Amino acid sequence: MSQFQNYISEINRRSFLRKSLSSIGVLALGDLLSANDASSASATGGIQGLHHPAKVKRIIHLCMAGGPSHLETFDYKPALETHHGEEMPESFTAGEQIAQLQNNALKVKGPVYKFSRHGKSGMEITDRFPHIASLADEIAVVRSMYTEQINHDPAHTFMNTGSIIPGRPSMGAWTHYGLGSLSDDLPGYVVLTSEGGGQGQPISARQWHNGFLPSKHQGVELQSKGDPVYYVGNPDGISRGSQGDLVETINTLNSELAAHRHDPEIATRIAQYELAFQMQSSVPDLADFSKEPQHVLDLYGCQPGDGSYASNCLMARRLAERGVRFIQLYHRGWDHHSNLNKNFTAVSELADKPTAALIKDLKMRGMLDETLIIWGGEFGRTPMSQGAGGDGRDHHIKGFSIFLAGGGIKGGTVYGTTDEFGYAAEENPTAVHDLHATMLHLLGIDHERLTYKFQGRDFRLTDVHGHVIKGILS
Amino acid sequence: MHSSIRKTTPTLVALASLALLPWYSPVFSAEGTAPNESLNAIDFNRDIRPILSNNCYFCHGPDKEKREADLRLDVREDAIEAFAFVPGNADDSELVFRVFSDDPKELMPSPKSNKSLTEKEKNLLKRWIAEGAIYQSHWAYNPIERPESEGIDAIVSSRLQQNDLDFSPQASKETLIRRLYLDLIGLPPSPAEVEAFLNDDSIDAYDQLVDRLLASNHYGERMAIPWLDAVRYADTVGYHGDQERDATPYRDYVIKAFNENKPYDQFTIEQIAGDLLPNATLEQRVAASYNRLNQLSREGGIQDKEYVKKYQSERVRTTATTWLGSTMACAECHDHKFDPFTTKDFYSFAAFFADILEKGAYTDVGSYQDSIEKYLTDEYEHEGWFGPELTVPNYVFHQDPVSAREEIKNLESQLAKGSPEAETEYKQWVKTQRNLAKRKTPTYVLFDYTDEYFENASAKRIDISSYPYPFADTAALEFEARIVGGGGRGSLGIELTYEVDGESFKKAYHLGDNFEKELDKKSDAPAVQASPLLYKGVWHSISLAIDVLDIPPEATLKSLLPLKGNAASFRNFKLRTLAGGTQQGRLSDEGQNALGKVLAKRARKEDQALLKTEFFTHLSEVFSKERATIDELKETLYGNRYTPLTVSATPREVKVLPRGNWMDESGETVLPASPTFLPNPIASTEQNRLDRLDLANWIVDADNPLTARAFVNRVWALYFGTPLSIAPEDLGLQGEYPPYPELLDWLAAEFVESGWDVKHLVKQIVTSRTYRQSSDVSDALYEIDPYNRLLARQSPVRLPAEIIRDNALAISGLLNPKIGGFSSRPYQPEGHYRNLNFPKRAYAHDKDANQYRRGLYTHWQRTFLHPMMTTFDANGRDECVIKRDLSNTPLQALTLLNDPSQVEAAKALAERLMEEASDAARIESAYERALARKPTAKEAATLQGFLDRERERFRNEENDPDAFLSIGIYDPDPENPPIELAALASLSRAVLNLHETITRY
Repeated sequence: MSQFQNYISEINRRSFLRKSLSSIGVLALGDLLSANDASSASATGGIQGLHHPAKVKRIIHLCMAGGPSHLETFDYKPALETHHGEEMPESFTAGEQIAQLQNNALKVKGPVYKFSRHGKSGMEITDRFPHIASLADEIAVVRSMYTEQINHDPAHTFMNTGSIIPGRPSMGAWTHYGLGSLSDDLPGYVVLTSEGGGQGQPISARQWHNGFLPSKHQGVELQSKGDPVYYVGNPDGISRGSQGDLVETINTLNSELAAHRHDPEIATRIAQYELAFQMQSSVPDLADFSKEPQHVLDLYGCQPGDGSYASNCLMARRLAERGVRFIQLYHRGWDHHSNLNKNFTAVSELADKPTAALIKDLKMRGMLDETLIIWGGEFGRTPMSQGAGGDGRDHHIKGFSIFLAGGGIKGGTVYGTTDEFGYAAEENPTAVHDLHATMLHLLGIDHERLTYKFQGRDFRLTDVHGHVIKGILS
Repeated sequence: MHSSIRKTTPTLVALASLALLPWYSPVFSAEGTAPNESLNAIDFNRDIRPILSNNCYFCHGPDKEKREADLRLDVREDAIEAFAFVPGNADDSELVFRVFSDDPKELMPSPKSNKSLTEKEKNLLKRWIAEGAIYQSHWAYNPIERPESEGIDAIVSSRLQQNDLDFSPQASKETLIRRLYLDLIGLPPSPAEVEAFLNDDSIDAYDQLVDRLLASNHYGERMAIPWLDAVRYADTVGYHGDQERDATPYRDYVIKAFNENKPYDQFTIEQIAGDLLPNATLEQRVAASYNRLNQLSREGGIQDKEYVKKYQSERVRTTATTWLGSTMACAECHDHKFDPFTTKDFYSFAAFFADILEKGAYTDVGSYQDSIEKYLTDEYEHEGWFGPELTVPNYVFHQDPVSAREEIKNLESQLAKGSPEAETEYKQWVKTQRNLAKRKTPTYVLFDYTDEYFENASAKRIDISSYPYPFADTAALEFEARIVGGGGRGSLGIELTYEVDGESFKKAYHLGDNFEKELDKKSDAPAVQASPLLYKGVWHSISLAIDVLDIPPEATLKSLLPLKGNAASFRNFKLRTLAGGTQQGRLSDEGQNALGKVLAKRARKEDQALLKTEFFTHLSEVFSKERATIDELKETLYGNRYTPLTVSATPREVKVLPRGNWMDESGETVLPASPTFLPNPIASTEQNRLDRLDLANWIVDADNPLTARAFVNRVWALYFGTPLSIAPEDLGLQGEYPPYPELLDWLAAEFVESGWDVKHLVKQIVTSRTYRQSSDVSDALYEIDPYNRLLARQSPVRLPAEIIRDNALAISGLLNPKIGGFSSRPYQPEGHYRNLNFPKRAYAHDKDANQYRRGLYTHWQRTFLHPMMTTFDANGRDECVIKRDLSNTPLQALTLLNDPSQVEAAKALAERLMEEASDAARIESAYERALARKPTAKEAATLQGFLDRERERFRNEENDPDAFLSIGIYDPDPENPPIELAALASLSRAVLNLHETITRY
């Protein structure tokens, strides 16, 4: 046995630390779930929820940052074809917010790509998404989303926090606050980013911030290059055995302190050093794709470590397997003010296959039923053209599409409509708060009861709004 | 993961309190509540209001829009009139009937509200009504009353006695000195300082130490940290592209204000309205940057008006939270649910700031409310990317400008004396000048070029092949350039094409810090970093000496290509010959004149002397090193930084926005006015519009019950870890009735009466017996008062992120104690900014002494703050933050274990330990430096064992000492044996990672 193995087995043998805590597992739980065990659904056999039995254990949010065009993806509007190039009727646009088309002529733009019908429901999906389309019976498309913010930064903030005021907790942080992580040695809320297919809009760490919730609930961004988690690698020249010895030395000295002081923070500190040391192997293991068989890599279409959206989708599955509660993938490539044809072609190429692969892969592993997948941007795009040759669309908030898949979702559903020009949500208008309420509902959380007191008020992810979107639930 | 054992959430605290305590305050708080105390008399503020506010006011409170059944419970007369209760007769009271009802249709609070009362709460309400339903006005809105018992200790002592408790013993002197250092200046005491204190038996040793630390210039740095959180100070604009804009002079103003003990009322007035003061000084105008530290946006496609409104609301939130501890923000869309703030109050407050000259969208679509040219009146003012900016010469916030000037003078007069080498050079130079004059060589050859107005266009190549003079006669390439933008440092460059023997070569020169990657793409020539910092938005005169250009002397110059980076302008390209100068520079007009006379042999003695002196001081090559030192010193005095300028212009119209909707124009127009329910309200009239100065004066009015309470409450938290009222952001009805209201009031009264003297306040606290108690706690006391709200001891306090860094740097001896100046850039993981765009950013860490500056100077990138800062609970400062939630996570462990800043500090500490004679002495020294105490035998043995094992690992090559010791830019003395040094660095890592090292006890 090598010195290193000796060391590890010694670490495993030692139990004084764990005895000094209730257990690392409890540490990983959210603030509320652990306190509410009595009301959990575990006794009834479902997935443990905070307020009612949960349909899913985790959420994977595939955020198509920049704002994908609903008119080129899931919301086919023949009227736009008919009126292509004509003035946009003022009845739609009068008094409405406008982004980059401020002070420009507003001309109707027809869909750039063909749509076809798919699945038993015959839902119309762009021909640019053949892989996603092949899963039409798995997904529920919401065509009647609307949001309140017409620019990227605040629209992401609104999509994540339900508020336009910076400093509120993101939905991942709320989820972690309510349910904690199912992983002992990985963060419970993980974020990955990728780009490609047009100008990459910046994305801020405030999108996965804990806001006024305790900072342990903030998302941790995994890096595609260098240490996957900052500072997870040993300093150069230091062996794992040496690092382990260091951690043990620190913990021995901290235990010494704890023996003489009534300060519960010391015991926590000791546990966190143990956990940190475990992460020093679990994180590299997480990032090591070498054991993924070729057919899986082919399914996603990625090379290990290429930092692509495809790699991130595969990583999302690996995170899900390891118990991460909330996984967010940002693909920064959907802001198509100009050169839409070229850039959309490119980005759909990058996004279609891996998205479908993730759904299929989870399904094959029996994990789709316990996962909620959400695909969508922070807003949609105008039925009006923008830019040189009219080859672009501006930001649009009155109507856009997203899709959901996984546990509790009624596959093959098309929910809500926009008007004939794809301008405004018409039937079943669906607010961002409704999406949040639905996500929490599937996690076993009543969105009206997940609260945190700040500035004298019980804050909620859904503020004073939100209705579960019942029409997409199975 | 990311969990702490300390169950700090409201739910858990509530459960715990219920289980353990016979009575608990229904106001949940993050840190927990005060323990039970005897409940002889019902106190409305303490016992009843929290129940009503938390459970009833949402529907039966101040907000008339949401009021149900036309019943309000926050006003006694109205509640009685609505038959809510009959004072003195609980059984006939509807309220009692409702809260005890079993029928869900009758039960209050309604089950739909997800609120419910405990039996305890129900009975309290019943008893309160039976005893007459006495109301009190909300404690924080009542006038500050100086309690009868004087001083912190008297107040605490009497309360402890009531609870059969006593003060804990005083902490040891070792603990006290470390506590005072970390609390007052944020740095640890050196072993020598500890020793001196231990040996000082004089009665006033402690007070003297306090005075010394309060007089330290590091005190201002410590005090600045929470203040900068509150006023949302950062180095970038936050929204979208999160571009840089300089506001560092404002940060230095804050440090200086605390160090000079500027009275808090003056401090307040200068920040809110410094620009409006008569004959405002430069410093007061810098203070007024406060108004413009909010997040700004230049995202394409944003709507100007929307962002004007965003900025407007944010200023109300920040000002109300920072100065008043009020949640006025809640009144943006509707009347406040709990406090008497109306929506009109919110917008009237916002109207005070409507004069600030600004755009909503800092893009083409944005516009100022008035022509900016009208307002930029002096040489210190210009327009940058993010609105008006103020130029601030460094001497304004220099710690000791008099000495610096003196030093420059001395060094220059040293140079003026010359040296034998300089004399030789001078003679040679005069000869050269004579030759150049004979050949009628001009000083400059100009090349016509300006793209001043085409910043975004691609640059044109400029032909310089007509330059007729040989290399030997050429001094420098000069031009002027400006980087688009304002705020922050940028980069640009030029590419030079030249020929040697008919073969063409290219070389590129990058100027500024190349943070923005675009520049790399602009030239395929090898790039040389050629000059210091370039501030965006202003013109810079750039001179590249021939030696810097570093091209072969036989080369012929062909052309120049400006490299615009993200967008820059260039003008006035010229080549300077050696006529009238050297590569180092050019003679002054007087010097030119004297040279003319010398060459014409008409020079008098004075001319000779003048020329020689100027040559030695400014031009000679032999003194170039000394001159670089002088230039650096001059930069610290005469270099410029910039800060957002607050200009008072024609005020924008402010309307009440129905439901906060910026597109809804239907609301009434409001003028500046203070909230009406607070004392001495002020309001504009059509004839007399109030301004920010009026607001500031109202805030610091001695009768304002909130200002002093809000500040002393937060200052208390600096020295006990927890404020007196647990939620410093909310002293309103939903905040916490403090367990020690009389202590809060005594401090507030003392603070105001002392003339808002901050150091006096701090001194009152840190010299108290209450403060000096041991932070150790018995199990019994812990059981009674786990959150130390009764103050029968001190509390351990984990250091703030910035100070964890400072502490490691100070312990290791690496700390650069420089105060103020540009922000610094410590090591940061590569790619941390990869999600930024417009422009893309690359991060270059400081490679000089700036690497070791204190944490508060760390470049504060709002959207991607340095991960060490985030991990230790600092935040991006998008908005006002007046309380950091402290976590305890594995990421913190990873950071302290592996962050190169920490590893490098361990290496430097190891080098200091090498000086000790034995391992025992080394371990002892490490403890003394880090913890101000000696290790116990057990601790020493543990570390000795680890040290021995590490020696073996470095010796047997399991560890690689060279790789380990090459982390960081600090090079230890090569005389040190690497294995020994590396093993001691391991030891140092252990010490720097201790919980005790990052905690002040």
